[in-house]
Amino acid sequence: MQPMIVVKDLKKIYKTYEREPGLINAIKSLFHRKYEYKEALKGISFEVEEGEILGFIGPNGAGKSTAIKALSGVLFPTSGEVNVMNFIPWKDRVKYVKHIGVVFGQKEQLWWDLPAIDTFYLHKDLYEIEEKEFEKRLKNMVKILQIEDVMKTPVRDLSLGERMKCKILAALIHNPKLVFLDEPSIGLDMVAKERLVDFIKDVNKKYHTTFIVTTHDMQDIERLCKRIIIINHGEIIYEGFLEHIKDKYLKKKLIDVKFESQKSDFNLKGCKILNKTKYEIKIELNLEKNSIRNLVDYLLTNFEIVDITVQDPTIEEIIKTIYQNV
Amino acid sequence: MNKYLKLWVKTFALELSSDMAYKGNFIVKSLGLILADLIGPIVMLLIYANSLGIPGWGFEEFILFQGTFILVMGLSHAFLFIFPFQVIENVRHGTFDKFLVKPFNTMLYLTFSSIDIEGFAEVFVGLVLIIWAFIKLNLIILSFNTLLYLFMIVIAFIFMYSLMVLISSLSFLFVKSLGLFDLLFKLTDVSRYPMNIYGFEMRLIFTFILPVAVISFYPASALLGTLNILNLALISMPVIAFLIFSIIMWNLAMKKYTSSGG
Amino acid sequence: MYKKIKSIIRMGFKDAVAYRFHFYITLITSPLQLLIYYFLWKAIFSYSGQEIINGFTFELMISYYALNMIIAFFTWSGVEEWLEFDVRNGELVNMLLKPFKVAYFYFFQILGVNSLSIILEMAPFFLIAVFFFGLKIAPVFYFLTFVISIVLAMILNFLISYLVGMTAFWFNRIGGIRRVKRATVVFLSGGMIPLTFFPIAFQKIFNYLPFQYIRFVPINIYLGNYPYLKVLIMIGIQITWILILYAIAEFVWYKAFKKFAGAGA
Repeated sequence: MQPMIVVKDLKKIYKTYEREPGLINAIKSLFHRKYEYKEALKGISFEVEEGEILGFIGPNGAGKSTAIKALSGVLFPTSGEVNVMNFIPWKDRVKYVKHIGVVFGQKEQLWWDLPAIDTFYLHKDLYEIEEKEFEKRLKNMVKILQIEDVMKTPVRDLSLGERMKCKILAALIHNPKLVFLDEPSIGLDMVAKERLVDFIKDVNKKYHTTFIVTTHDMQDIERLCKRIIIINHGEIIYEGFLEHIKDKYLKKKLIDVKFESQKSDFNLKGCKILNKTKYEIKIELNLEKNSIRNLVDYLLTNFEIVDITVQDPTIEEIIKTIYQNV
Repeated sequence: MNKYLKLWVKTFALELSSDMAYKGNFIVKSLGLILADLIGPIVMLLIYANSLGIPGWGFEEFILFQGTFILVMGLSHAFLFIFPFQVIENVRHGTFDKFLVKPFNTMLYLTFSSIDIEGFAEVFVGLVLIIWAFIKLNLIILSFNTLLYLFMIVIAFIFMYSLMVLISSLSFLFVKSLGLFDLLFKLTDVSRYPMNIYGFEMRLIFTFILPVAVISFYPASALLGTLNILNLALISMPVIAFLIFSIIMWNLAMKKYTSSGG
Repeated sequence: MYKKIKSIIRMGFKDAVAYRFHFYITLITSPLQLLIYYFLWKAIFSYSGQEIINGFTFELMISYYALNMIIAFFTWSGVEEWLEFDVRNGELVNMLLKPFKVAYFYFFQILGVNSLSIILEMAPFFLIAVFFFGLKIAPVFYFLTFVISIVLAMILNFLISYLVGMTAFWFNRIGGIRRVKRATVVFLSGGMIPLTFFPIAFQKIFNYLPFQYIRFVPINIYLGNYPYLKVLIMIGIQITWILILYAIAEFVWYKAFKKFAGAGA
């Protein structure tokens, strides 16, 4: 069976103007402008099967948004092929977008001065959703997302999290086969994030909806996606199953310790000191060489601890590691 | 006083450089303003070509009148309009407190940080029209009438300043105040044409109660010698009263705002 | 399709309702504006001692300005401002993700807003003009053709605004261009003074431009200044201009979209 999305050698080059601050430079720019070419996508290729939840990870400016825009039909690539459900996204835009839903974390997609529910009803007509089906889906999703009261308030009076939930409902109300979520959990608290994840999984299971999620949040990725693509500097530097990454690359932990006094200098196998001040020390623990338990024991013995934080490495660090190993 | 002057200069430099960042748009915007301002005189040209025009004012005299109007509006645009705009926008978004925490008197801070470079395009148009009229009417630049003229323009500016302060004060009392700006501003449109077109009672109102006539009618009349010093002194008083009234309203508004928790 | 259009118009209407305070203000300032014109032209007419100036009596002149303002209400077209904002902030992307042509979406939104304007601005102002400013109610034929012509004028003005708004794809900030457009279109359509005040040579040129069909011509239709046949011809010319500008707009949009999607905003 043909995959839902096929991307071949997708390239995108932007032309930007340089603008330097200050009055003198502003006047200079009246006469002469400097151009710069930026390669946002250097020729990426990948496929997505129907019913997948795919994670798109990468630091800011890596090319994620550019790829999503090309896939959703609002961007012409410089070169390359994109085939989604037998559409070329930017060629048959009006027909194509009926089958997709998009949520941009940073953009307003609901009518600002009106309650969200007005936008929902607008979408009912725009996407030609049948009356009964619409009411059923609306009721269902409103209950799960818990926006019963919220959807009747003007969008401009809602919090970021409430808006996000309404945006998601608006994007899914027409039961699209493919949904792009661009930073969907921005502004959501822990509980809301979890509920959102459950909601996406639920929709995916019930309707076999394909999701492509771009995000910085590793927790979201871990809970949602089986397969991920890591992009950096416009190139795919990793494509594969999340489990493999965890086994291969998440072998480090970052520990931040705050203390009142220390009995001796810090020295433990498998630990690298990243930063040290009089009352704080940042450690990188290599899980292959030592364990968290040993480290904590050591710290409790030698330091008068005030606070400890244990973190996973950031995406940047994982990517750095992947780069080093590539 | 020194720090306010510094603030003024800094604001000017900041506005200029940020406008220059979008050079094309800035130039076109200024040209657009000049064009829009010239439409008035052109319309009047057409009227005077087809009729005797406005009673008491020949074409050149009217151009002097209109140039004065545009000059005063231009100066107000350049130095005053941003004042109520800053107030209304910040009250609407709940960020007005940022003015209260600055080491300046709030009203004066707003006064000296409200520059809009665009306004200078209007000032330019006004000056061109006035100079044209001066030449055509053979007016003597270094004359007593010119002195009176300049004095009345200062009075006009004071009036516009008071109006801006008043509008800003009212925006603390009413929530939807952008409409208020339009409304009160429409009242200045009354003075777009010489007072000759209005009846006696209306002239009294526009001179002593809501003295919009000082914007252009009285300065131009002073220059053309139809008013003497005594008249002008009399006419200036309502403007000063209006200024005092506006400042009182502002202080009331500030008191209310800060006492209700901001 | 009809359902979709109705839905978009409804949204535009509701949006306008959220801003209805603006309409209340206009309801006060518009009669004031007309009053200023009243005094101005009263003075001009009496000073000149003429009964008729350029084909207008004093009453007709006031009626001209009253109708001018009514048309101004209905032909309001904020699309050039919306386009500038949407293109600059990349919010246009949201429009592109809807299964509806962008231009039509903007158009029906504006139609929705102007629908509220009919209720809150045009109708009340019309009544004020009739009862206080001597505007006569036109005979049936002229009244109906007037209504048709201002609907066409609205479409025409929309297309011009849309074309101007699309310059945002190339210039990013177009506040200046918008200002120039506003000033020239209002001026050249007879919005400041009847076009008959211009020298004949200019009037001849205006015949070849679309602007007079936005205000001057509809006003004349209402005032009964054209024989029946000419009224129909004028409406025909309005439609012709709409078709011409529509074709140009389609072409420019094609180029504009390529630029936008190419740049990716």
